[in-house]
Amino acid sequence: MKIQIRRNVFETNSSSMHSLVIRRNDITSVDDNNVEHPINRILTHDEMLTNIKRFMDKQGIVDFSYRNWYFGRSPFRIMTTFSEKVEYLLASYLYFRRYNEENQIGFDEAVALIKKLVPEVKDIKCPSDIGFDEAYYFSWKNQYGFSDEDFLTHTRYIAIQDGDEYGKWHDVYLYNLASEDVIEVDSMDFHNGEKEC
Amino acid sequence: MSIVRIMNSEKLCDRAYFYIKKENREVTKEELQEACGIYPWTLERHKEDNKPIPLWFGYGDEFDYKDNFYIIADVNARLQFAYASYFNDDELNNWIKEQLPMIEDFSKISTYRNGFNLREFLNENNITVQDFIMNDKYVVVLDDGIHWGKLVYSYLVDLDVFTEETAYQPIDFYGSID
Repeated sequence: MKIQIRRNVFETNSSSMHSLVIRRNDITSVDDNNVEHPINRILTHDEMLTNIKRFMDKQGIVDFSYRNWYFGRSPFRIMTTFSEKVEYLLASYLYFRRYNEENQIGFDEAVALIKKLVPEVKDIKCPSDIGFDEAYYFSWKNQYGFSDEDFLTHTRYIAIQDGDEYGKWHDVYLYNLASEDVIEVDSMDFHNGEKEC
Repeated sequence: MSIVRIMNSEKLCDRAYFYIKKENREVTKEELQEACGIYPWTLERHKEDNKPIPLWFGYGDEFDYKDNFYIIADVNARLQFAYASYFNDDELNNWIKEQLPMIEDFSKISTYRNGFNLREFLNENNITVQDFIMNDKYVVVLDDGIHWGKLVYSYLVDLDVFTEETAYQPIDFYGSID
């Protein structure tokens, strides 16, 4: 038998591993004065405005055009804040629109939603280069049945970007460091056993 | 269910942290052997080739914490971290020889030095490097971003697995850099 090996080619099948983490709703934290607060809450308008303001000019233009919207395997990102989730959401819709000419629904509605949540936002500039390895966001929406508004405004939704060759989020489970009492859903399902990666 | 979190936020980013888990788990010699890349087929191949068996970690992580995030929590990672901190140290080599007498060649270890003065840090805390390598209770987090802080403050990390002293005030040994 003759085995053919291509020269100078090193192939890997590494791919991105994005996780949607949904925290349980019945968990509270205790502050320094022994007062309990739920760890999940809906962001206020002021919180969203304060968070997105650093990208916004005096005319209300939010400029993401210089940002890295390649949501692939690295860097490791934990998207918890309003602006981080806005970027992930808009990039998902733009990427989806580029490859689904028949279905252009989503992006304009998402921009309208952001303007509704933070009326001070008048327009949003996006980068021209956008990339994903897989359209995770839409499968999460289908599977867990949340709206774009839920994702953006509710602190229980956290998106994590990782790659299977790094496996940082996977390590958190592997070394028994994950708060399994707090995590209701991890879309990568690490908490139900070690997933191959 | 409620969770108590009393932590100093300045302590959780851009730094290296040392934690001690409550659970004490000593690593077996077989696990150490695997961490050193010694498997039956390695032994066989070197015997066939009549070559000394090297200690070699491949070209993997060198634990340069810049722009990165590492959770060093298994024997392989702790051993490599110790080597990169102690910089191919005779004490470490001799100890490995005692544990795994089949290893004869130490020339293939990376000459990379990560800059963390682990020796001084462990001495100050009365921990031997052998204990550090061989016990899964020791966890080091290297973070040049805010990854660890975000994971902790999002309640995604269970600090209860660590001892009280380190969980709520993880030891920052960034200051010990050479």
